[in-house]
Amino acid sequence: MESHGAEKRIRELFAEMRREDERAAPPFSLHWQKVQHPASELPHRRPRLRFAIVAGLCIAALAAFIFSKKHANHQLPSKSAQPMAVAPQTATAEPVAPTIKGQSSPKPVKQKRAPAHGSRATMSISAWQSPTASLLRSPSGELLSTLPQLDEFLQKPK
Amino acid sequence: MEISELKSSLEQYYLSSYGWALSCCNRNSVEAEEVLQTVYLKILEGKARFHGNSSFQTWLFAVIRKTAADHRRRNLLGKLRLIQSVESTEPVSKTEELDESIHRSETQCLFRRALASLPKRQKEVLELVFYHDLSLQQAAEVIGVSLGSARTHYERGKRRLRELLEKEEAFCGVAWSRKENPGIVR
Repeated sequence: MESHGAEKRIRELFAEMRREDERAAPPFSLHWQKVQHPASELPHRRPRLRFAIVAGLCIAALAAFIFSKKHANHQLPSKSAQPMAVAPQTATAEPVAPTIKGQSSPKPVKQKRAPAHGSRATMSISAWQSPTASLLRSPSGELLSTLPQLDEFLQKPK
Repeated sequence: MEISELKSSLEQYYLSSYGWALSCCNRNSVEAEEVLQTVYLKILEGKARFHGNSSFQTWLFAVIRKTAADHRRRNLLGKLRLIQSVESTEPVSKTEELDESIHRSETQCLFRRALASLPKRQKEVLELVFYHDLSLQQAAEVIGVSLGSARTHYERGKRRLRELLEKEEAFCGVAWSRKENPGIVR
């Protein structure tokens, strides 16, 4: 019985507290207005944000392009330095394919064209030789790098 | 849910939402208003969505509770950063509380003090049941505990609140139990 009465009293006290809170509560419209303002501003904010993202990406791309350009220039030897790096013509003795009489020489295989922007870099890499390459050269190097012709002595007039 | 529908639902539960926000913010009206505004913004932006798994009020109360907890956590971090400024504002809030308490009845003040001294879960269950007239099942959904657990919190909270009120009244000389049971007192 006593606990029932106590519960009733607690309920009354809560009800009193509720009434006080309701009296002190600001009107709903005030809250709603405050909330709706940022919500209506959101669509304006989004394009701004999008624009900022796009601008940032453009700047990043531009920076990357400039950086890559600079990097490529650093790797390429300058024109004045090129003769030093490129080996003399005689040294670049490529093995000559043997020619058999009566047969036409095989057509040179067409090399794929390197893209225009990278052609200089490709050329410089293929022509590059180490500074000590001349030490490896010997007088009989040409004999070693070419194939002997078998019927050479037969064709010589006696 | 469309905005107009949402608005009418929120308006319907506005006063009880405000009361629950106050409860979640330790009766701090400024904080409660901020929390409620954040909740409305979350709902409008679609960050909090009602899927119909429970009643709208239960869902709304759960969102308020979570938002208040986040708000409290953020405030705590802010206080750690700006201890000096908080110290300067604290006396003002205390005086405001004093002004408010002058208008309240003595019994109500004792009751609020007793309620504030209860453990958090017990206080929440009691408020949801007695203040908002929710069932224990709904209260359990709002707090995110099982029904059995909510019942335990309810029983313990009620008993503790009664004890605290009796003790405080004995100390202050206000006998609300006398009003309730005049026959007991000679």
